[in-house]
Amino acid sequence: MSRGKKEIQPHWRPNFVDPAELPDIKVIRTGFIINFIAVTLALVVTFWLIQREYQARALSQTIATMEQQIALAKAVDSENLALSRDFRKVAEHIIEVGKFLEVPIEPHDFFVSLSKIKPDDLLFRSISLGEEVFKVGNKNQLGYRISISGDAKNLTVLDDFKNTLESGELLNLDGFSLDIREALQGRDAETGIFPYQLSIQLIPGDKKPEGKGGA
Amino acid sequence: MSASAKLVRILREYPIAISCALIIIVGAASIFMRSGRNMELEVKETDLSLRIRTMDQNVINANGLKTDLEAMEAHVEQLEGRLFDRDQRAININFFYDLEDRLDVRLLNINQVPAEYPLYAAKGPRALKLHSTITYNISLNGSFQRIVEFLNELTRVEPLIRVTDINMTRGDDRAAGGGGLDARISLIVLAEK
Repeated sequence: MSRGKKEIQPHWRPNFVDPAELPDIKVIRTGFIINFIAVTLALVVTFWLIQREYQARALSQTIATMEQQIALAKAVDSENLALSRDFRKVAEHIIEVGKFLEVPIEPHDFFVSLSKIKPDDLLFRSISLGEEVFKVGNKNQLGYRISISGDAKNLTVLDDFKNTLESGELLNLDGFSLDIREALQGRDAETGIFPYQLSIQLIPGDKKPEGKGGA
Repeated sequence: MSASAKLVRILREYPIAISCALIIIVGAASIFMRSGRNMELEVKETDLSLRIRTMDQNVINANGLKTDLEAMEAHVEQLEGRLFDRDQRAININFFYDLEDRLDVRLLNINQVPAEYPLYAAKGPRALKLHSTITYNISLNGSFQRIVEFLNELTRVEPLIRVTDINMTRGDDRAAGGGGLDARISLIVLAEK
Protein backbone atom coordinates (compact mmCIF):
# COMPACT_ATOMS: atom_id res chain seq x y z
CA MET A 1 0.00 0.00 0.00
CA SER A 2 1.39 3.31 -0.98
CA ARG A 3 1.67 6.18 1.37
CA GLY A 4 -0.82 8.14 -0.72
CA LYS A 5 -3.35 5.48 -0.43
CA LYS A 6 -3.14 5.32 3.37
CA GLU A 7 -6.44 4.05 4.96
CA ILE A 8 -8.32 6.84 6.79
CA GLN A 9 -10.01 5.61 10.00
CA PRO A 10 -13.16 7.45 11.36
CA HIS A 11 -12.84 9.20 14.74
CA TRP A 12 -14.75 6.48 16.62
CA ARG A 13 -14.41 4.95 20.03
CA PRO A 14 -16.88 2.91 22.03
CA ASN A 15 -18.85 4.74 24.81
CA PHE A 16 -18.45 2.79 27.99
CA VAL A 17 -20.36 5.29 30.18
CA ASP A 18 -23.09 3.63 32.29
CA PRO A 19 -25.48 6.50 33.30
CA ALA A 20 -27.08 4.40 36.06
CA GLU A 21 -23.75 4.03 37.75
CA LEU A 22 -22.83 7.67 37.49
CA PRO A 23 -23.52 9.88 40.50
CA ASP A 24 -26.60 12.16 40.38
CA ILE A 25 -25.13 15.57 40.10
CA LYS A 26 -28.47 17.55 39.85
CA VAL A 27 -28.95 20.32 42.47
CA ILE A 28 -31.93 18.37 43.97
CA ARG A 29 -31.55 14.70 43.38
CA THR A 30 -34.41 12.73 41.77
CA GLY A 31 -34.34 10.15 44.58
CA PHE A 32 -34.81 12.88 47.15
CA ILE A 33 -37.85 14.37 45.33
CA ILE A 34 -39.54 10.96 44.91
CA ASN A 35 -38.94 10.02 48.56
CA PHE A 36 -40.08 13.42 49.78
CA ILE A 37 -43.37 13.22 47.86
CA ALA A 38 -43.96 9.61 48.91
CA VAL A 39 -43.28 10.31 52.59
CA THR A 40 -45.51 13.44 52.53
CA LEU A 41 -48.39 11.56 50.93
CA ALA A 42 -47.97 8.65 53.35
CA LEU A 43 -48.02 11.06 56.28
CA VAL A 44 -51.14 12.80 54.94
CA VAL A 45 -52.98 9.48 54.47
CA THR A 46 -51.84 8.22 57.87
CA PHE A 47 -52.94 11.45 59.58
CA TRP A 48 -56.27 11.34 57.78
CA LEU A 49 -56.81 7.72 58.82
CA ILE A 50 -55.92 8.46 62.45
CA GLN A 51 -58.15 11.51 62.49
CA ARG A 52 -61.11 9.49 61.15
CA GLU A 53 -60.53 6.70 63.60
CA TYR A 54 -60.35 9.19 66.44
CA GLN A 55 -63.57 10.79 65.22
CA ALA A 56 -65.29 7.39 65.06
CA ARG A 57 -64.13 6.57 68.58
CA ALA A 58 -65.35 9.94 69.89
CA LEU A 59 -68.71 9.43 68.14
CA SER A 60 -69.06 5.94 69.60
CA GLN A 61 -68.40 7.32 73.08
CA THR A 62 -70.91 10.14 72.57
CA ILE A 63 -73.51 7.67 71.30
CA ALA A 64 -72.97 5.43 74.32
CA THR A 65 -73.42 8.42 76.64
CA MET A 66 -76.56 9.53 74.80
CA GLU A 67 -78.06 6.04 74.88
CA GLN A 68 -77.43 5.94 78.62
CA GLN A 69 -79.07 9.36 78.99
CA ILE A 70 -82.09 8.24 76.96
CA ALA A 71 -82.41 5.01 78.95
CA LEU A 72 -82.46 7.03 82.18
CA ALA A 73 -85.04 9.56 80.90
CA LYS A 74 -87.24 7.02 79.12
CA ALA A 75 -89.54 6.35 82.07
CA VAL A 76 -90.19 10.06 82.66
CA ASP A 77 -90.66 10.61 78.94
CA SER A 78 -93.19 7.79 78.66
CA GLU A 79 -95.10 9.30 81.57
CA ASN A 80 -95.03 12.73 79.90
CA LEU A 81 -96.22 11.28 76.62
CA ALA A 82 -99.06 9.42 78.35
CA LEU A 83 -100.08 12.66 80.07
CA SER A 84 -100.00 14.50 76.79
CA ARG A 85 -102.08 11.76 75.12
CA ASP A 86 -104.67 11.95 77.90
CA PHE A 87 -104.71 15.73 77.66
CA ARG A 88 -105.37 15.63 73.91
CA LYS A 89 -108.12 13.06 74.40
CA VAL A 90 -109.85 15.16 77.06
CA ALA A 91 -109.33 18.35 75.05
CA GLU A 92 -111.22 16.80 72.12
CA HIS A 93 -114.41 16.94 74.19
CA ILE A 94 -113.98 20.64 74.83
CA ILE A 95 -113.06 21.31 71.19
CA GLU A 96 -116.22 19.55 70.06
CA VAL A 97 -118.39 21.52 72.45
CA GLY A 98 -116.73 24.69 71.13
CA LYS A 99 -117.40 23.53 67.58
CA PHE A 100 -121.04 22.96 68.47
CA LEU A 101 -121.53 26.35 70.09
CA GLU A 102 -119.47 28.39 67.64
CA VAL A 103 -121.85 30.46 65.53
CA PRO A 104 -121.45 33.90 63.98
CA ILE A 105 -124.98 34.97 64.91
CA GLU A 106 -126.67 34.49 68.26
CA PRO A 107 -130.43 34.75 67.52
CA HIS A 108 -131.37 36.69 70.66
CA ASP A 109 -128.60 39.25 70.03
CA PHE A 110 -129.68 39.48 66.41
CA PHE A 111 -133.30 40.23 67.25
CA VAL A 112 -132.38 42.77 69.93
CA SER A 113 -130.04 44.57 67.50
CA LEU A 114 -132.63 44.42 64.73
CA SER A 115 -135.30 45.94 66.96
CA LYS A 116 -132.90 48.78 67.81
CA ILE A 117 -132.30 49.79 64.20
CA LYS A 118 -135.91 49.39 63.09
CA PRO A 119 -137.39 52.78 62.09
CA ASP A 120 -140.72 53.68 63.65
CA ASP A 121 -142.40 53.98 60.27
CA LEU A 122 -141.50 50.41 59.34
CA LEU A 123 -143.58 47.51 60.60
CA PHE A 124 -142.49 43.90 60.82
CA ARG A 125 -145.09 41.23 60.20
CA SER A 126 -142.76 38.31 60.07
CA ILE A 127 -139.05 37.76 60.74
CA SER A 128 -137.16 34.57 60.19
CA LEU A 129 -133.55 33.65 60.74
CA GLY A 130 -132.29 30.26 59.65
CA GLU A 131 -129.01 28.49 59.19
CA GLU A 132 -128.18 27.09 55.81
CA VAL A 133 -125.24 25.13 54.54
CA PHE A 134 -123.61 26.70 51.48
CA LYS A 135 -121.09 24.95 49.29
CA VAL A 136 -117.98 27.11 49.07
CA GLY A 137 -115.38 25.48 46.82
CA ASN A 138 -115.17 21.91 48.02
CA LYS A 139 -116.36 22.71 51.51
CA ASN A 140 -119.82 22.97 53.01
CA GLN A 141 -119.99 25.97 55.30
CA LEU A 142 -122.56 27.50 57.56
CA GLY A 143 -124.44 30.55 56.32
CA TYR A 144 -127.76 32.24 57.04
CA ARG A 145 -131.03 33.11 55.36
CA ILE A 146 -132.97 35.96 56.88
CA SER A 147 -136.38 37.10 55.77
CA ILE A 148 -138.20 40.20 56.98
CA SER A 149 -141.65 41.13 55.74
CA GLY A 150 -143.99 43.87 56.81
CA ASP A 151 -145.32 47.27 55.88
CA ALA A 152 -143.49 50.51 55.15
CA LYS A 153 -145.23 53.84 55.51
CA ASN A 154 -143.06 55.20 52.73
CA LEU A 155 -140.29 53.92 50.51
CA THR A 156 -137.65 56.26 51.92
CA VAL A 157 -137.91 54.53 55.29
CA LEU A 158 -137.50 51.16 53.66
CA ASP A 159 -134.46 52.36 51.66
CA ASP A 160 -132.88 53.82 54.79
CA PHE A 161 -133.46 50.58 56.68
CA LYS A 162 -131.98 48.57 53.83
CA ASN A 163 -128.95 50.86 53.69
CA THR A 164 -128.50 50.53 57.44
CA LEU A 165 -128.54 46.74 57.13
CA GLU A 166 -126.04 46.86 54.26
CA SER A 167 -123.59 49.16 55.98
CA GLY A 168 -124.16 48.35 59.64
CA GLU A 169 -122.28 45.92 61.87
CA LEU A 170 -125.24 43.62 62.36
CA LEU A 171 -124.93 41.78 59.06
CA ASN A 172 -121.41 42.67 58.01
CA LEU A 173 -119.63 39.71 59.53
CA ASP A 174 -116.06 38.67 58.89
CA GLY A 175 -115.87 35.86 56.36
CA PHE A 176 -119.39 36.37 55.02
CA SER A 177 -120.72 38.21 52.01
CA LEU A 178 -124.07 39.91 52.28
CA ASP A 179 -126.84 39.77 49.71
CA ILE A 180 -130.05 41.74 50.31
CA ARG A 181 -132.95 41.50 47.88
CA GLU A 182 -136.08 43.56 48.21
CA ALA A 183 -139.56 42.74 46.94
CA LEU A 184 -142.29 45.35 47.00
CA GLN A 185 -145.99 44.77 46.55
CA GLY A 186 -148.37 47.40 45.27
CA ARG A 187 -149.26 50.30 47.51
CA ASP A 188 -152.43 49.87 49.54
CA ALA A 189 -154.79 52.50 48.19
CA GLU A 190 -156.64 52.95 51.47
CA THR A 191 -153.79 53.10 53.97
CA GLY A 192 -150.99 54.23 51.64
CA ILE A 193 -148.56 51.67 53.02
CA PHE A 194 -146.19 49.51 51.00
CA PRO A 195 -146.06 45.80 51.87
CA TYR A 196 -142.42 44.70 51.46
CA GLN A 197 -140.20 41.68 51.87
CA LEU A 198 -136.44 41.66 52.40
CA SER A 199 -134.61 38.43 51.66
CA ILE A 200 -131.12 38.43 53.07
CA GLN A 201 -128.40 35.87 52.60
CA LEU A 202 -125.18 35.68 54.55
CA ILE A 203 -122.97 33.54 52.39
CA PRO A 204 -119.69 32.19 53.72
CA GLY A 205 -116.76 33.58 51.72
CA ASP A 206 -115.79 37.11 50.81
CA LYS A 207 -117.08 37.24 47.25
CA LYS A 208 -120.31 39.08 46.76
CA PRO A 209 -122.93 37.29 44.66
CA GLU A 210 -124.09 38.90 41.46
CA GLY A 211 -127.65 40.01 40.69
CA LYS A 212 -128.17 42.10 43.77
CA GLY A 213 -131.10 44.43 43.43
CA GLY A 214 -134.70 45.23 44.12
CA ALA A 215 -137.97 44.17 42.57
CA MET B 1 -32.35 -5.36 30.72
CA SER B 2 -35.45 -7.40 31.42
CA ALA B 3 -38.57 -5.95 33.07
CA SER B 4 -38.10 -7.90 36.28
CA ALA B 5 -34.54 -6.76 36.54
CA LYS B 6 -35.70 -3.20 36.00
CA LEU B 7 -38.30 -3.61 38.81
CA VAL B 8 -35.74 -5.05 41.17
CA ARG B 9 -33.46 -2.18 40.36
CA ILE B 10 -36.24 0.39 41.11
CA LEU B 11 -37.12 -1.42 44.37
CA ARG B 12 -33.49 -1.31 45.40
CA GLU B 13 -33.12 2.29 44.33
CA TYR B 14 -36.26 3.74 46.12
CA PRO B 15 -37.02 1.55 49.16
CA ILE B 16 -38.51 4.46 51.18
CA ALA B 17 -40.82 5.58 48.35
CA ILE B 18 -42.00 2.02 47.78
CA SER B 19 -42.75 1.57 51.51
CA CYS B 20 -44.62 4.87 51.57
CA ALA B 21 -46.63 3.85 48.50
CA LEU B 22 -47.67 0.66 50.30
CA ILE B 23 -48.69 2.72 53.36
CA ILE B 24 -50.70 5.08 51.14
CA ILE B 25 -52.51 2.17 49.45
CA VAL B 26 -53.34 0.46 52.76
CA GLY B 27 -54.38 3.77 54.39
CA ALA B 28 -56.59 4.83 51.50
CA ALA B 29 -58.23 1.40 51.42
CA SER B 30 -58.90 1.61 55.16
CA ILE B 31 -60.38 5.10 54.84
CA PHE B 32 -62.60 3.94 52.00
CA MET B 33 -63.70 0.76 53.80
CA ARG B 34 -64.51 2.52 57.07
CA SER B 35 -66.16 5.63 55.63
CA GLY B 36 -69.57 3.90 55.76
CA ARG B 37 -69.17 3.17 59.46
CA ASN B 38 -68.40 6.80 60.22
CA MET B 39 -71.43 7.97 58.29
CA GLU B 40 -73.56 5.45 60.15
CA LEU B 41 -72.28 6.74 63.48
CA GLU B 42 -72.92 10.34 62.47
CA VAL B 43 -76.53 9.54 61.49
CA LYS B 44 -77.08 7.64 64.74
CA GLU B 45 -75.61 10.50 66.76
CA THR B 46 -77.93 13.00 65.00
CA ASP B 47 -80.95 10.77 65.67
CA LEU B 48 -80.11 10.35 69.33
CA SER B 49 -79.41 14.05 69.70
CA LEU B 50 -82.81 14.81 68.16
CA ARG B 51 -84.47 12.33 70.47
CA ILE B 52 -82.86 13.88 73.52
CA ARG B 53 -83.95 17.33 72.39
CA THR B 54 -87.52 16.01 71.94
CA MET B 55 -87.43 14.44 75.39
CA ASP B 56 -86.17 17.71 76.90
CA GLN B 57 -88.94 19.59 75.10
CA ASN B 58 -91.46 17.02 76.40
CA VAL B 59 -90.27 17.72 79.93
CA ILE B 60 -90.80 21.46 79.37
CA ASN B 61 -94.22 20.89 77.79
CA ALA B 62 -95.30 18.56 80.57
CA ASN B 63 -94.58 21.17 83.20
CA GLY B 64 -97.87 21.58 85.06
CA LEU B 65 -99.65 19.30 82.61
CA LYS B 66 -100.89 16.96 85.32
CA THR B 67 -102.67 19.80 87.11
CA ASP B 68 -104.10 21.08 83.83
CA LEU B 69 -105.28 17.59 82.93
CA GLU B 70 -107.04 17.18 86.26
CA ALA B 71 -108.73 20.56 85.86
CA MET B 72 -109.71 19.70 82.29
CA GLU B 73 -111.09 16.30 83.32
CA ALA B 74 -113.22 17.97 85.97
CA HIS B 75 -114.46 20.49 83.39
CA VAL B 76 -115.28 17.75 80.88
CA GLU B 77 -117.10 15.76 83.57
CA GLN B 78 -119.17 18.84 84.30
CA LEU B 79 -119.85 19.30 80.55
CA GLU B 80 -120.85 15.65 80.16
CA GLY B 81 -123.37 16.17 82.96
CA ARG B 82 -125.02 18.87 80.84
CA LEU B 83 -125.69 16.59 77.88
CA PHE B 84 -129.16 15.35 76.99
CA ASP B 85 -129.80 11.63 77.05
CA ARG B 86 -131.60 10.66 73.85
CA ASP B 87 -133.55 7.92 75.61
CA GLN B 88 -134.96 10.21 78.29
CA ARG B 89 -137.47 11.82 75.95
CA ALA B 90 -139.98 12.89 78.59
CA ILE B 91 -137.34 14.49 80.83
CA ASN B 92 -135.87 16.30 77.84
CA ILE B 93 -139.19 17.72 76.71
CA ASN B 94 -140.19 18.65 80.24
CA PHE B 95 -137.03 20.71 80.47
CA PHE B 96 -138.52 23.12 77.89
CA TYR B 97 -141.94 23.13 79.54
CA ASP B 98 -140.25 24.15 82.80
CA LEU B 99 -139.09 27.34 81.08
CA GLU B 100 -142.65 28.21 80.11
CA ASP B 101 -143.88 29.66 83.40
CA ARG B 102 -140.58 31.24 84.33
CA LEU B 103 -140.34 33.17 81.05
CA ASP B 104 -144.01 33.91 80.51
CA VAL B 105 -144.32 32.28 77.10
CA ARG B 106 -146.82 29.64 75.98
CA LEU B 107 -145.31 26.51 74.46
CA LEU B 108 -147.83 25.19 71.97
CA ASN B 109 -145.97 22.18 70.72
CA ILE B 110 -142.61 20.47 71.16
CA ASN B 111 -141.52 17.87 68.70
CA GLN B 112 -138.33 15.82 69.02
CA VAL B 113 -136.90 15.08 65.57
CA PRO B 114 -135.42 11.59 65.36
CA ALA B 115 -132.72 12.43 62.83
CA GLU B 116 -129.49 14.18 63.79
CA TYR B 117 -128.88 17.75 62.65
CA PRO B 118 -127.09 17.33 59.29
CA LEU B 119 -124.41 19.91 60.08
CA TYR B 120 -123.11 17.78 62.95
CA ALA B 121 -124.01 14.31 61.68
CA ALA B 122 -121.37 11.93 60.35
CA LYS B 123 -119.91 13.34 57.10
CA GLY B 124 -121.48 16.73 57.89
CA PRO B 125 -119.38 19.89 57.65
CA ARG B 126 -118.93 19.92 61.44
CA ALA B 127 -119.23 16.19 62.16
CA LEU B 128 -119.06 15.37 65.86
CA LYS B 129 -117.18 12.25 66.99
CA LEU B 130 -117.79 12.24 70.71
CA HIS B 131 -121.28 13.70 70.91
CA SER B 132 -124.58 13.63 69.08
CA THR B 133 -127.33 16.18 68.62
CA ILE B 134 -131.09 16.12 69.17
CA THR B 135 -133.26 18.52 67.21
CA TYR B 136 -136.46 19.98 68.64
CA ASN B 137 -139.12 21.95 66.79
CA ILE B 138 -140.95 24.19 69.23
CA SER B 139 -144.00 26.33 68.58
CA LEU B 140 -144.61 29.05 71.12
CA ASN B 141 -146.54 32.20 71.66
CA GLY B 142 -145.55 35.32 73.57
CA SER B 143 -144.53 38.93 73.26
CA PHE B 144 -141.43 39.86 71.28
CA GLN B 145 -139.56 40.66 74.47
CA ARG B 146 -140.52 37.35 76.10
CA ILE B 147 -139.57 35.34 73.05
CA VAL B 148 -136.16 37.06 72.88
CA GLU B 149 -135.75 36.38 76.60
CA PHE B 150 -136.66 32.75 75.95
CA LEU B 151 -133.94 32.61 73.26
CA ASN B 152 -131.46 34.23 75.59
CA GLU B 153 -132.34 31.82 78.38
CA LEU B 154 -131.64 28.88 76.08
CA THR B 155 -128.00 30.00 75.89
CA ARG B 156 -127.70 30.26 79.67
CA VAL B 157 -129.31 27.03 80.84
CA GLU B 158 -127.31 23.93 81.78
CA PRO B 159 -127.94 21.90 78.60
CA LEU B 160 -125.90 22.99 75.61
CA ILE B 161 -128.47 24.39 73.21
CA ARG B 162 -128.22 26.24 69.93
CA VAL B 163 -131.11 27.83 68.02
CA THR B 164 -130.77 27.05 64.32
CA ASP B 165 -133.99 28.44 62.89
CA ILE B 166 -136.59 30.84 64.12
CA ASN B 167 -139.62 32.35 62.51
CA MET B 168 -141.69 34.97 64.28
CA THR B 169 -145.02 36.19 62.94
CA ARG B 170 -147.74 38.30 64.42
CA GLY B 171 -150.24 36.07 66.16
CA ASP B 172 -153.92 35.91 65.39
CA ASP B 173 -154.75 37.75 68.58
CA ARG B 174 -152.91 40.77 67.16
CA ALA B 175 -155.93 41.44 65.00
CA ALA B 176 -158.03 41.37 68.14
CA GLY B 177 -155.72 43.87 69.81
CA GLY B 178 -153.34 41.44 71.53
CA GLY B 179 -149.55 41.79 71.49
CA GLY B 180 -148.55 38.18 70.93
CA LEU B 181 -146.22 36.68 68.37
CA ASP B 182 -146.24 33.14 67.10
CA ALA B 183 -142.77 31.69 66.92
CA ARG B 184 -141.50 28.47 65.44
CA ILE B 185 -138.10 27.59 66.74
CA SER B 186 -135.79 24.79 65.70
CA LEU B 187 -133.05 24.14 68.16
CA ILE B 188 -130.42 21.51 68.69
CA VAL B 189 -129.22 20.15 71.96
CA LEU B 190 -125.86 18.49 72.45
CA ALA B 191 -126.44 14.93 73.59
CA GLU B 192 -124.53 11.83 74.58
CA LYS B 193 -123.24 9.70 71.72
